Order: sequence, then C-alpha cells, then structure tokens
Amino acid sequence: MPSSPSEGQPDQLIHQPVRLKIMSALKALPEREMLEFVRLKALSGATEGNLGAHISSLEQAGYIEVVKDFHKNRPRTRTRLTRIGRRAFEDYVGFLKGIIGEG
Amino acid sequence: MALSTAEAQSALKDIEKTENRTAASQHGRASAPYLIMWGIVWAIGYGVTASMPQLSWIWLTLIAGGIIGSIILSVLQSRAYRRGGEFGWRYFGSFATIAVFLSVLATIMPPLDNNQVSALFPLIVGLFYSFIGIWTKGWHMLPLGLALIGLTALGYFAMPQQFLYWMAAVGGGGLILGGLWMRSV
Repeated sequence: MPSSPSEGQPDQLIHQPVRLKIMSALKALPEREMLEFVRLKALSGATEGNLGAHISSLEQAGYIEVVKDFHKNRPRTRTRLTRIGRRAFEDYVGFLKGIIGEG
Repeated sequence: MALSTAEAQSALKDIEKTENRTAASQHGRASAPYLIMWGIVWAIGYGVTASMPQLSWIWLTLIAGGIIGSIILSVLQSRAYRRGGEFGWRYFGSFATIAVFLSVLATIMPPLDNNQVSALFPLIVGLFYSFIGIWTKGWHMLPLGLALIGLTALGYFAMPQQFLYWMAAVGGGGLILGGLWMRSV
C-alpha cells in the first residue's frame, strides 16, 4: 500500500524515476485519454520489460488502467490514469511543493 | 526517509519535463495530418500553376478540398480524443481563420504579380506555425515555421523564374516532411 503524503513521506509508488515519468506523461493528457505503450516507452525512456513491470505496479495500486485491444490487426496496449491515480499524483506534487515552500 | 529540498526540486523538474514532452508529442500528432494534407494541396497547386498557368483556377478547388479535409480531420480527431477534440477543433479553427484572413488581405491589398501572391500564403502560414511553436508546448512548429518563411524568401529572391516549382517542392514537400516529422515526435 503506497504511503500517504500526509504521513510525511512521498508516495513511494510514484516516487521512483520511471513510475514518476509514467504518471507525469499520463497526467499531461486530457482526462480519459489513453497513451499507447510504444509512446509511453519513448516518453519515459524505459526499456520494454522495465516499463511493463512498472506499469503492472501502478495498475495493481489502481493508479492506472491498462486497456489491451487490436488496432488495424495489431495488438495494442494503452494506459490511462484512473481517478485515484490522478488524485494520488496531485497529492504527490503538492507534497513536493510543500517541501520547497510552494505548497 | 525525508526528502531534501533539492530532491523535491529535482522531482518537480522531471515532472515538468515529461509533461512538456507529452504535450509536444500530442500537438505534433494532432497537427501532422493537417500538415501532410495541406502539403499535398500546395504541391499540386503550385506544380499545376507553374506548368499550366491557364489552370490557376485549380487553387479554388484545391483550397475548398483542403477546407473540407480539415473539417473531416477535425471531426475524426474530436472522436479520437473523446473530450470534444482537445486539439482538433483548434487546428481546424486556426486553418479556417488563416484562409479567411488571406482572402480579405488579398482583396484589400492585391499583390502585384503571380510570385507575390504565391509567396504571401506560405509566409503567413510560416508566421502562424512559428507563433504556435513560441506560444504553445508544440515547440516543433517553430523551426518548421521559420524554415517555411526562410525558404519562401530564398526562392522568391534567388529564383524568381522557377519560384512556383520551388514552392511546389519546398513548400508542399516541406509541409509533407514536416507532418511526417511531427507524427514521429
């Protein structure tokens, strides 16, 4: 279970370089819009296996939703932030801003 | 373990960087099909006008086709983005505004010759692309806009006899290549 910023610690699930990039990229999208795995890989700079593992962690925590389907006869994996994930990310950013005195 | 101020600042910087890259990528993908379509319109229009000046009316057909194409793209993007086309309607609106502006400008201040008319459109479009690059997170439009302005001026002054062919290749081809580049951003 991720730790809450209110406990004086950053959310450890988000506070990891690759997962932070995944969450930041998804947060930059309009609500409910999805990002394809390949684009997320390019944006995060992670390897395929590494990215897959981090996506699974975030999905298990309920922060992101993973949708798998076929597009033009090719398998496609897309992700998007859930409402819980969006709130957790906002809390995380608020926590960081609190540390630097902007919160 | 408590986070230091420097660590918090670094994490915030990483967030901002990734958000900006994502936004730039979104803008690029949204604008790419418009660039490619208008690049084709320009290549055909300038190419036909250069080789068969009597067919200069073809521009009206091509521009009408381009506007209809923009509307279709806008609707398709609106559906794809689900939220009423976050980017789609803006791109369509911008292209439509440019078309209206150029028509009024050409009526109020009619250019003197064919080359001036042909230079006016790409210069205004280049200016528009540059502004998008400067004011939005779609910064890739800035080099594209500046290249369009520079290459138009170069062709206009350096090769006035072949200017329309130059615009077909550089203007049309440049937009198509720019669109392909934006799609890969």
